[in-house]
Amino acid sequence: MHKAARPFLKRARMRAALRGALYGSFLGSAALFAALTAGQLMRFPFAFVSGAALFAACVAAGAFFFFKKARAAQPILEEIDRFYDLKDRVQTAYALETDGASADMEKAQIADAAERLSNADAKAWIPRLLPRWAWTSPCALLLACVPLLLPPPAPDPNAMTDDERIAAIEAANALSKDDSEAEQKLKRAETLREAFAALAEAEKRAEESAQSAEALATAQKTLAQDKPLSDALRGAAAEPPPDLAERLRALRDALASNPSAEAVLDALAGIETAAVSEAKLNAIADALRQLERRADPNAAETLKRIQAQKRKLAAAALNSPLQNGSPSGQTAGGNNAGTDLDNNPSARTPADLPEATLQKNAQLILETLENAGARQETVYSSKKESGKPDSEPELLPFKQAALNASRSALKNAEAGAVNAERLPAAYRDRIRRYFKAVEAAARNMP
Amino acid sequence: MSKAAERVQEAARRFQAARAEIAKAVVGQEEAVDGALTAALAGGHVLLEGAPGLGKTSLVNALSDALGLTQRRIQFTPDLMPSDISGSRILMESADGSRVFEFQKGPVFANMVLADEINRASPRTQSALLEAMQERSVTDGNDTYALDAPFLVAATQNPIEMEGTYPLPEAQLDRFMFKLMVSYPSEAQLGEILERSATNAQPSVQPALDAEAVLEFQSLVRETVMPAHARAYVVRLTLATHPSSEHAPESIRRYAAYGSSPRGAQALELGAKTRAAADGRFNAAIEDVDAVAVWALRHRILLNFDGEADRIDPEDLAREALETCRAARQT
Repeated sequence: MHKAARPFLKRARMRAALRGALYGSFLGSAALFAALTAGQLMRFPFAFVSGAALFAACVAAGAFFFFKKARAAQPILEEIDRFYDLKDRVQTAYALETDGASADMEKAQIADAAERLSNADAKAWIPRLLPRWAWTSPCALLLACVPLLLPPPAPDPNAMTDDERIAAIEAANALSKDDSEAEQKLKRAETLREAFAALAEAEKRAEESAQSAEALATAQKTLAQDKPLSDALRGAAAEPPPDLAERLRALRDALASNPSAEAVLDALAGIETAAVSEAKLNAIADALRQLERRADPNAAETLKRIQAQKRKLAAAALNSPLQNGSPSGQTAGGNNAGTDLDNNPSARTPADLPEATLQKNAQLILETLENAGARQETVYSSKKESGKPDSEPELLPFKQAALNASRSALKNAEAGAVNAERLPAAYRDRIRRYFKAVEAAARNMP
Repeated sequence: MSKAAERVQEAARRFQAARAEIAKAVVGQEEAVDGALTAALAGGHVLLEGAPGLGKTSLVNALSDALGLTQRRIQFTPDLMPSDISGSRILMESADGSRVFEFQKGPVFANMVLADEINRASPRTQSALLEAMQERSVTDGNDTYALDAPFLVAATQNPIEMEGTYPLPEAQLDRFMFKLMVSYPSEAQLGEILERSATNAQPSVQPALDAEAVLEFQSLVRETVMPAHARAYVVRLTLATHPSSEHAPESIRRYAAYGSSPRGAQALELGAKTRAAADGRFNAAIEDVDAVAVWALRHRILLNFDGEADRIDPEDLAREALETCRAARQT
């Protein structure tokens, strides 16, 4: 009986394995579709290879699972009995032969079932190993490859180009010893805006450190102390020298223009009218301690390096070469500050220019205005008016020049170049003191 | 051809021959005829239920003629005594003039006993027959008299005239292998009945077997192979008639008080084997079990109060149990 049933069992198991492979192919096609879609839309690497591997794995797993499920003979024999209407002859005989039949009736039953099964054809029972719907499998595979026809996604307009990314990495490496936070941000930056923001933050920190160092030097010179000032003042609290109050007043005057010395100046407030008490000296010493912490004697050099990297990054964005580390044609008059915009055929519109370029132009303009004297009515403007050649300076009223400067810098930009966040640090404190003085005068008025 | 194959082939031939002979006397009633013949060849007793005049007695007569068995008929009436069935002692005068009690065998001493309208006799009289059915012997005092072999009882009962009757208790019903319903004939069948019975052409049933052949058939039935999966199916089907079983359908749980006894499972297996032998097969199949399931179970499911109040037919419960097992097998 086992011998007679063998071809039937084999054919049934082959059918099961092929059917499992078909089911696996559908699942694999879905996996392939997902992998190719991810590869096309999200730029997933090795999409085709991974998708093909998933497809093959699904087909193999399906074939294995269904073959293993079909290893049990009983359901197959039951199907044979049902197909040939043998009234359980085959499965009964198979079980009897497996258990070892001894009775005459059992042996006769086995012989009868084996004879009937031998006269049957396994191919008549299972004419097709593959089901009729097997043609859908290659169709599914073809459908799974549809994502290959999708167009690749448009590049992120804000993403950095290769040159810009190289410039950002070089800036990060150049500043690695000076500012580790700027280095990390530059390396992680995905857009030009992020890179310039990191440089701007580094510049601000360097400026504050430089100003702190300057303020500290001024304080040391004014108070004529070698050791740390905070300790010196604390030591002087017990026995203050007679000219301490005078020196402190001189210190106040010397630090008046330094924005980083605000805490010291606040501690020195009222030094003229009140006596120099121990508490006062301790407060001044605490403020000087903060200044000592922020001061960096190398901050000036750091600031120069940061600004140089800003210019290099801006040049990379404009795709223009640098000469001697500074933008070409930079003068006090800033006449060529507009050349970056006008003469560079590959330059983008002002709305597309990076902020550093705008900042650079605006800063140059403002420096020009400052150097030329803000109180003058007429100034030279770097803004090129339409129809005028670059070599001819334009005489404009100060208001118009400032307006043009702001327009050239802020045209189609979200934030103005001439606002508190884009001014150098030195200007910010000056403006703050101005408003404080105005406020104090208003309070004293009857 | 092996001896077993010859036996099976001969058994199938004789079954078909007996079937054909019975059909000469009984028009239609295929299910009842098949059931009665199956029960007889399996060695079991059968209970026939139907309205008067449907041919229950004719069927039993034809059955006994076709099987070549001696038959006695006992008309059960309310005044029937147990001794009228089993026999009694009669004072006889011997040759030497002495008087002795001699046991006179009753009508139960036959191969086939037709117990007509068994529900009309008193329970005491019923028990006398039922004892003979179970023990296949009659006890009179200290003496036990074996009944003839084969011994079959075909009882009939009338469901219409129930007034003044003594319905068989459930424990006694269990002794009948099958309960067969004799239904009304169709129009064509009725016409044929008239053609056969209302004319001078009275068909005579020829014996297709004899007592020895019947015993041989019964032996062959018991040798027929019952595969393990079919036996498991019998067990599951029997348990499905019990309201507390996990295999029972909702209707059984709701309306049945008690399910089939192990005698019911025996009836299922023997009936399936008999059908297999009658079909010329060496093994019984699940289809054979399905074919005899209702016959074997309809009188073995006892209704609870809800079932009685809702007038549930136990046959419907048996069919639902069968469908539940079939569905479970498909899954």
